[in-house]
Amino acid sequence: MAQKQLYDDYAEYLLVVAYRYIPGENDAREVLMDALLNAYKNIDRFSWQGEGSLKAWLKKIVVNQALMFLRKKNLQLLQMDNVTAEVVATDTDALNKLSVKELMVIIHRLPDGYRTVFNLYVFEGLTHKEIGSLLGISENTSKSQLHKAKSMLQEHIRLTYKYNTYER
Amino acid sequence: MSAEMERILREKMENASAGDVMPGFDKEREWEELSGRLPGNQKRVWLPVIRYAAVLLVGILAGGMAMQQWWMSDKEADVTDVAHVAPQPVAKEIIKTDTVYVPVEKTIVSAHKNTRRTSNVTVNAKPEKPIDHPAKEYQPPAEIINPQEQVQPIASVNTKPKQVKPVHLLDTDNEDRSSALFYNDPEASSKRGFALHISAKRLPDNNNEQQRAVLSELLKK
Repeated sequence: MAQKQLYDDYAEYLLVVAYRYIPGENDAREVLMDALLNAYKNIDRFSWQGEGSLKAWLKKIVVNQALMFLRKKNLQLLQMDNVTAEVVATDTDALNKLSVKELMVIIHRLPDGYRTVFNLYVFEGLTHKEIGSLLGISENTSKSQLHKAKSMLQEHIRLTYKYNTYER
Repeated sequence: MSAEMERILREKMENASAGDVMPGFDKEREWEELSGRLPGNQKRVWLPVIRYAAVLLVGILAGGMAMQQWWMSDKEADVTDVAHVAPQPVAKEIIKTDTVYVPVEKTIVSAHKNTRRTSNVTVNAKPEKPIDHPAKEYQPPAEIINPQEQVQPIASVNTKPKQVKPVHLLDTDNEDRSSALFYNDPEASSKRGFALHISAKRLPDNNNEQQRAVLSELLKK
């Protein structure tokens, strides 16, 4: 069965994508379910453009579904034009030593707006202009949100690493 | 956050499995839930419901038609019953009066009237031949053949009704005297009123003793 095959191949990867945007496990599962239903319904719209195109297409559907979910929850994006947050330099070793689960927890700690812009920029590779039009915000706001998100993330990574080192 | 860090982060997330970030994720159970919501399977879920609904609808329709048929046949059966009723003879009944015998027509209610509802009556059946009930030949009583000669009517004696003189209640002057309750002196009082109600045989004139006895007896009561 083609549907089951598609699910087996991409469900776990797509769940991780959804979970990056949506902190709650049940909400993330629900988003994944809706995204896959959408994909099955609109499978005729997909055009094969080489290896990885199906994965990218499915990922795009999941991201859109996650953004819709966040909009329903009244996603709050802070309008910050003047960014003054200091970006703390973090050792790449600290990042390497953290597990995926720990990193996911750190990402979940970000406010919804920061997390969404961070995900779209870093993982989806969108430009600030694209993010602005997608979320209905200005380009500068997207930039400031990303800057704040990075700053907060680095701080959390540093603290988590410190805590882990102290525990060991 | 440097570009190098972004790359590391991206790689980690790309290679992550669902079990790493969500240990409670049950892939097969999620698939069962998802497959139940798929468009093709949704039809399968509704199919038994639609089937039951269709069977129920057919049953209701068939029942309704049967009821209608029964109702219509019931009405037709009533009509057929009327067709079965044979013409009944008409007898004459004599009503005796004091002086004149008046023959009047009397309708005899048929004993063949079927009051039960029958369901096996066909609508277009040919009506049965009416049962020939030869009416008994009516033999009038002998006395009415020639009523002038033979009939001896029971002649009532025309007695003249008693002329009872009504008591005038509005006559307030003599009201008490006219009533039976008033009595002081039978001789002095006239026999008007009370005496009128007593027959002449029981209360002869000039018999004061007897009259007094009767009155006193009545007053005691």
